[in-house]
Amino acid sequence: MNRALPLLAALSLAPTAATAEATPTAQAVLSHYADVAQASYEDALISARQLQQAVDQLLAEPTEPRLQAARAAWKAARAPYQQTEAYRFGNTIVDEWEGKVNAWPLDEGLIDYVAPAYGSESDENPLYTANIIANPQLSVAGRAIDATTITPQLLAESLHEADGVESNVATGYHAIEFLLWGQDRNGTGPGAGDRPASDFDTSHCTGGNCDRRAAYLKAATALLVEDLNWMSAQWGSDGAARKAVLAEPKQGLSAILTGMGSLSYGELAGERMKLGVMLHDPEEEHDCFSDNTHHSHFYDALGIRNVYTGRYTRIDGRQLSGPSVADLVAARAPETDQELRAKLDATLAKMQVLVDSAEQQGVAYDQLLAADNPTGNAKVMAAVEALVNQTRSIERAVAALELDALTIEGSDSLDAPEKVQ
Amino acid sequence: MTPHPQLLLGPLLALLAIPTLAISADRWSSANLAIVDHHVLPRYAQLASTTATLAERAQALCTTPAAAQLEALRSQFHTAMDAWQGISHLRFGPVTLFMRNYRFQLWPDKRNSGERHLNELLTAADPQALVPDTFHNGSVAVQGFGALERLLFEEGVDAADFGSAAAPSYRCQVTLAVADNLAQMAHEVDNEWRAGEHPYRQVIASSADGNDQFYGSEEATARFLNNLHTQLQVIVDQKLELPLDESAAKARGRRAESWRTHRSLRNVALDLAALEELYRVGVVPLLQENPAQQALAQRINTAFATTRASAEAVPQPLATAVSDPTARRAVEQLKNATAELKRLVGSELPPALGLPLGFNSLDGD
Repeated sequence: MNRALPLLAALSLAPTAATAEATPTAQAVLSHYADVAQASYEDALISARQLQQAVDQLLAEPTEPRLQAARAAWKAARAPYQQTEAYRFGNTIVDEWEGKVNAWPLDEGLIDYVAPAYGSESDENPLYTANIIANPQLSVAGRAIDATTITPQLLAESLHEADGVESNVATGYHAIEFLLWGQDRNGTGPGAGDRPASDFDTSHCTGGNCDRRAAYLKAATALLVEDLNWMSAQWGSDGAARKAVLAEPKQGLSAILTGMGSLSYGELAGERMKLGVMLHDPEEEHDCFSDNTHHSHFYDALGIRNVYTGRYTRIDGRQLSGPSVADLVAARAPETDQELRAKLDATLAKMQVLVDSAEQQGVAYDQLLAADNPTGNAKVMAAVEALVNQTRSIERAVAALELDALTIEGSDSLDAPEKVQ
Repeated sequence: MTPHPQLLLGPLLALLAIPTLAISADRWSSANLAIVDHHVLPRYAQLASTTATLAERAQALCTTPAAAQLEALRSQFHTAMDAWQGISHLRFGPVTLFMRNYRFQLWPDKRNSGERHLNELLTAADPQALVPDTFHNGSVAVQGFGALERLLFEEGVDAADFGSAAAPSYRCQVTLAVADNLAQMAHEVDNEWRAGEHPYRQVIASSADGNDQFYGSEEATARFLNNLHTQLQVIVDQKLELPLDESAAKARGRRAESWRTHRSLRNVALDLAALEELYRVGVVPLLQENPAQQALAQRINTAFATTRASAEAVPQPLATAVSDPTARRAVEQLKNATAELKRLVGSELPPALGLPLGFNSLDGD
């Protein structure tokens, strides 16, 4: 309520040409939000197709250089996808679909062989070591599953989230990541997964069942491309996601800010980052096989800023910019806009510290989680605190636009169980 | 470009609306201080005193491990856990520093970290791991009430597991380290609210003028409201839905909070009582300012009463009730009653007060 005076002052200046020009309509903001979504998912799709080509080349000739090329393509594909995560919460159509492509964490013993340290059973998951690749016949909740031929349909319909257990992740980026890297058996020490290319070599097979492993990788990659193609279309000119956002301006604006806040706070700061530090557990690392977590978190934070400012740099370098929710907040509460922009930048700076640690200093994200690495812990926690701080300012932006609680209570993701505090 | 009329008119309408809807900064401030002085501070004081006794009794057990000492400690576990359940809904301020809230209790524990990390600790039996600085900085999964419950109440555990007067066992030393850690944290939280250079009570009290945490006193009130709503969601989504699952056949009793001590429902009842106190002390006076809100206040009062009665109607313990077709219906009734209370608090109360609910720390996957 004590925001009223600055608002009044801002309004009294409204007749100046600059202010009038700077304040777009909600419809224009939402339309551009959907344009950036479409471009972002299209970039994710393009880079997933490049990953698919690299996988095909690896399977045609399973050599170390080709495995390295496929891994590089996977990492490249993560960059645009992670930037789309700011669209997940707040857009029901995205939230309901997201588990197909980015489900995490996973019990990788469902998919392939694992080291003894992984353990052989779990109270939570009867399929903890089901090993689809080694077993053409499976039993899920008492029902026989014929997995003789590994197809996208088999993975998506019969095995993903099998027996209702969320950690049975049979599809998506992290399943593919596990196939390309294998388990990271270095704990919080240096090193990522080190699966040999010969795991895909049917004539000199290591790890057993190389034909089935190759089939699995091919199917999972095809499915990823298919799923991203579908989502990209949802943001096209007649797409359902675009229509949903444009249907009602206030709810559309709420979707934007809900997406920013929910990803910042409960998901990224809480589930994906804080828990790992609290438990000093490398299994709590988002990209735990590839040690690419620093990039995944960085691009999440960048995606949140993209959505706020309406700016996005495509994978081919083209720049998108247009009317943004930032413009609306600036017109209503310029100090809140400035504060939020500063906090979004501050978060990216803290994320950059994690990127530099991995890329410049050779200390990967999982090493930062070690109990005997207080400096590393502090680097991760600094990013967590920056995310929590920006959430407070996103709440102020919600208040400035008078969107109050409406979608936050109604948000689909809020009503799902098993949230970590 | 023509500015969108709604967006420019909005603030003006809000200003015009102030005489009927808005609550003055003074009233936010007095609501905040009523919550702090009559809800938060007494409850943190209770947590500090009950965990201090807990640490004394753990010390007594490790000095003379015997059945009587173990029983005294087990009994105090319940008293201290009661105190924690009565204030665990507060998710800002000193309790969040150094991740204390998670160190008090890590739950739910989806990946079974509590069991894995405690077993590793007990197997390694390294005295260095229990040095306070090392222990505080280690895994949160072995530091709090969850670990203490396993240490004291795991099946088959008796006084002999805690060693002898001449040689208390490593298990006893871990028990003492956990109890000391709880007492230390509770003392710090209690102290940081009331004393020191920047008591947190003062941060709340000074919020009317704006400070580095709050733009104004209504933001502090909004935090309390957010925490009230978040805890109702914890009860529905975690304390009840996790063990309930889809059906009696699929029910997962061991996902219930505190199932080893058969106090899952006691936790829920304590939670609800604490949330009702927060509501009565802080929110009811704000609603009373506006006669139009009396109906809503009455509906929330009724919803609290219904929820309380539903909790009392569930046969104990929760971990087995969820698998019993008849008892399960009572648990579902409790879940539905709490969900309706949550809906009132999350959807109707914020617009009535003119407060945003804010983001929820549970939001995520």
